[in-house]
Amino acid sequence: MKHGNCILIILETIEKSKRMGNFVKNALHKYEVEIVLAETAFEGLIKFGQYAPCLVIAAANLPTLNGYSLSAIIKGAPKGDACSIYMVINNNELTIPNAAGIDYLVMQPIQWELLAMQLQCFFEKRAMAEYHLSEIIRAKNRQNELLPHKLQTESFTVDYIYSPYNELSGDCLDYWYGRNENGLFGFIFDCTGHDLCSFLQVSEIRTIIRWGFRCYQQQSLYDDLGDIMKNVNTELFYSHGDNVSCVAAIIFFLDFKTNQLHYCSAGIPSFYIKKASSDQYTEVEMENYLIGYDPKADFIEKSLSTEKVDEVIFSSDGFSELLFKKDIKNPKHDDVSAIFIQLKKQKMCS
Amino acid sequence: MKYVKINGPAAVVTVVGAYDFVISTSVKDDLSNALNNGCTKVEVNFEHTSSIDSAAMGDLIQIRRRVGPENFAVKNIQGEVLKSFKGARLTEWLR
Repeated sequence: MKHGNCILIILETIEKSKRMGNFVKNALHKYEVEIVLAETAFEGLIKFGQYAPCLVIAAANLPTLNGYSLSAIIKGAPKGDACSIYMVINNNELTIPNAAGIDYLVMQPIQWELLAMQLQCFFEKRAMAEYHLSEIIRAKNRQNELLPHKLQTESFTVDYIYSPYNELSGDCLDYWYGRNENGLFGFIFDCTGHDLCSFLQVSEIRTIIRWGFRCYQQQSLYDDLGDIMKNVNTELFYSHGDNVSCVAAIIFFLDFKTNQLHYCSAGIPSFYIKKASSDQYTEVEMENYLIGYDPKADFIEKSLSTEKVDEVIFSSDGFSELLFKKDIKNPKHDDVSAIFIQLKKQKMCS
Repeated sequence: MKYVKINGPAAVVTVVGAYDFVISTSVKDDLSNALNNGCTKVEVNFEHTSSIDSAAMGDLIQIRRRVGPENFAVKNIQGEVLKSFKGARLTEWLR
């Protein structure tokens, strides 16, 4: 039995309900529906609360509570808006109150073949909606699988937050320890939107950035972070032409040998550091074009000494817009993601 | 149209408060409507805009590309919006 494929039937007599139940069961056999019968409107309301059916087939002229009132009560109840109502009427009952919330009318005498087709269309549409939802869940799981783990060494700890606005995220982040374990590499970027299109764009850009970093780490093609960013920009223009969507990004390399943080932005205006001597965060401003602005854009790498830095925070604007603000009407209005790096200074031996 | 007013050949965009992804989607729809109905220029007035996110800036870049730089203008950029514009080097639009 498939959860949620329940149909509640409330007709004038239990015999009529049973007949309808058998018909519906046969017509919808491939959708694994569960049929629930109610003898009266009152029992129908109670069973609606118990079973939360996706469909109710009710008669207009029920003896104790008319079908229109029954329908209006169901639609106003919790989970009522997720339920469709088929109302069986006589052809002399064509004045239907607007507030009744009826979705379909079934005229008596019933044309059974037509009703079967209508019910099959209803469940086909529903199955399609479930399929789309499962696609989104698969994409969401795939995004979650790509998230990094917390890293902890004697010299640093790195962790992240990642909170999509709604199921899928247009943000992406990653970091890893590399180049003979003397450096921390990573990136964070923010594509427009949070849907399946964003999911595809995130996957595409992640691949290009990771490839760029591989060349950088092997010192084979790039020796500057600006070249990695420029390559992402160029590749996207090659692939999408003027239809390229803009992307905000930052890529970084934290070199523990030289205590230098190398970074290159694309449209992200700043990141935060906390110095050892202070308990306040300082904003480090950056200036570079968004990816997707100009196919010939250059991206400039900058560097910062981390000798006196305790913490570094890189984030998408969905997170930075929430920081240090007290008067926020909307507590979260975008994908939120950030990378937190804590640097541990080695104590000198005496 | 909620965010766009027509002034002769120009579609004038005004967003009060935060100009974010959700609002940008509506602005884009309004502007498409205006441009399909004969407007040839776009002007974005940031006088009452408190902030702009990267998604909205990306959409403005697309719109500017569509109408051409000579038909696109921004004005009254200040505060957080100016900071975001500097971060994306879009201050060249102010020249």
